[in-house]
Amino acid sequence: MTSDTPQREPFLLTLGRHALLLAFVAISLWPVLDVLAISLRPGNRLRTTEFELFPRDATLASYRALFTEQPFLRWLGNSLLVSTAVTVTGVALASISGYAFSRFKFVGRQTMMVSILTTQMFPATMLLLPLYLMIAKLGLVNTFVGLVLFYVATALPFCVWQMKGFYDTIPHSLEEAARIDGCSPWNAFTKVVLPLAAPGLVITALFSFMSAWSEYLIAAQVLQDRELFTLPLGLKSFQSSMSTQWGLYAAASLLVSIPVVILFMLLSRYLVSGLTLGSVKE
Amino acid sequence: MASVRLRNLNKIYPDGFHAVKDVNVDIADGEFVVLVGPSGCGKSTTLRMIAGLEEPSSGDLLIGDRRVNDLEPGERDIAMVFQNYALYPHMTVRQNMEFGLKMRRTPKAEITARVNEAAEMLSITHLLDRRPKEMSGGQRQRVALGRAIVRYPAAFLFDEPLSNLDAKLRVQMRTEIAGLHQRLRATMVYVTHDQVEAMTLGDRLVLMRDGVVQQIAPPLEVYHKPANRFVATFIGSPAMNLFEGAIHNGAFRLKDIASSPVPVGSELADGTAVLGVRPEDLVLGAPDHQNFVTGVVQVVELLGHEALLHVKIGSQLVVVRSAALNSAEPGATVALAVREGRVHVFAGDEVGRRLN
Repeated sequence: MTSDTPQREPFLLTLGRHALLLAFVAISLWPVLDVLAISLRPGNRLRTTEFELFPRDATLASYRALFTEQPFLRWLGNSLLVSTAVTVTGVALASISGYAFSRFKFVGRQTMMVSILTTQMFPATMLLLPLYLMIAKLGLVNTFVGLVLFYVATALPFCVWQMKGFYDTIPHSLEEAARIDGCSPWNAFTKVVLPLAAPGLVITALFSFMSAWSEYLIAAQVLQDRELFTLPLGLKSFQSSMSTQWGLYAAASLLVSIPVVILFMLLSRYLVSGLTLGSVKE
Repeated sequence: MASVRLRNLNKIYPDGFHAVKDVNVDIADGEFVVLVGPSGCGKSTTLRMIAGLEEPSSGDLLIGDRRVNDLEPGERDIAMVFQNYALYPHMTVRQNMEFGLKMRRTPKAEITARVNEAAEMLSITHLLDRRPKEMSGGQRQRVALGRAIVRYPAAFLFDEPLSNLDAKLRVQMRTEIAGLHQRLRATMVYVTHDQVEAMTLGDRLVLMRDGVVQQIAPPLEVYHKPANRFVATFIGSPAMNLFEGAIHNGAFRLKDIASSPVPVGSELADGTAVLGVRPEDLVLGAPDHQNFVTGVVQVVELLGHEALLHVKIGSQLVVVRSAALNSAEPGATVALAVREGRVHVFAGDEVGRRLN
């Protein structure tokens, strides 16, 4: 909307609208800014009497301590490793099985689709025990492999459905044209279908990554070694029954969110659909 | 280039639907054959079996001297143009045209030469760096043609390639495809439900209905000697008029309506029959003429160069094509005569096989 639109809305309406939006912005930003303020305070002050964003005695001591006194870098590495493994495995499996569900007719297809969906209806906490027992039987407790297995198993159903839905929008004639052009079914999939499914892959990858990056509950069951902790576990370890190191906690929280923000900014341009526009006319 | 032969080809889907029934067609090297019929007649399925996109349930498929039943689509040396163009959206026009050659490991220099040659032939050289979504429907279909041409295939397959274009573009592309065939002298198999495309493009037509071939013949033969009632009414616009009646002593007489007998040939046996007369073969009779029947004009459609008269005879509406624009007014009673020797006689049963 530009100022030369013939009908301008009443000034009060504009004002009200902006006030409302600003209020929401404040509500979303306040906690983040609060955390920022806590992370900058020296010592372990959760609450102060002042309402300053940057305390007068602001210090980066908490951040420094994270990297020098605490195994923060190690947790960061663990989290990156686990999340990346979950993303790669999840996307690889979802992109293939989603394609199979979208394109091929096979015995049990419908049943499998529904049962995959059914697993999503149970809260994760309910699956915690059976999955833990399985991982324990496999001797994978306190290993990254066990955790990745756990994460992939819980994230995969959504990813498969997501990818299937995406493939459904890609016309079959494209693969047929590729087959006639000399592609094997696998080549037609990798050279024609997969590039067109890029936005779907990005969404799936983002979902897999995020689900592992910020997960606490499952990680707390599978991992016991402080050396193996992922970031959410590490964060929680600043909290003990007696006291909490709020400065470290706040600083680490902010740092944890940075990779996710960067990921979103990098991938946002792929999150545009309509890539298949113009290839075919139905 | 090569011949394409279909031998007792059948397609039965898992749900039991028999889509193509015992189809036998011999397509000569360089011939343009059009598979035509109403939707659901099995023409597309037949084409897709030739392409290798559907597996025949039984029968043999030969391209050249090779039996190709068990070959992958890419090994059959055919190219196909789809109704929805099926261009790869993530590739430029050049990449689209190169793709099939690259998959076959054609030398780079030859790929470039072939793409440039085809692009020139189709006047799409200026579009080579564009992506499909940046082009109009006509341009896209031209690119799809180009993608087929560069392959120098043994046979071109077209699956209703013009159906998605608007009327004007369709006529233009039709001429272009005809020109392409004259130039390349390639074997082409073309599927359409449009009888004008079928008539104008095909060296021969294969008319299909419910999976069964009804007639295989050059367009004019199909028009002038349709093999049965279905073919007679499917080809030709407006459709052929059909009259129910009976043959007695070599002459046809209408059922239930007073009419003069129409001679159909003494070799035809007596019995019920259907008489077919194309709109242009029904003429407004002069008073002294040996007229066939009389009727009342219901509607007159003026098309500029001719008029179509819808005439009610008994309870039936027939169409008369008249070169004279002012031959009759709605409501007028007219006498109709049949142009001599231009009648089609079909059996009175369900199939309606041609008798004369």
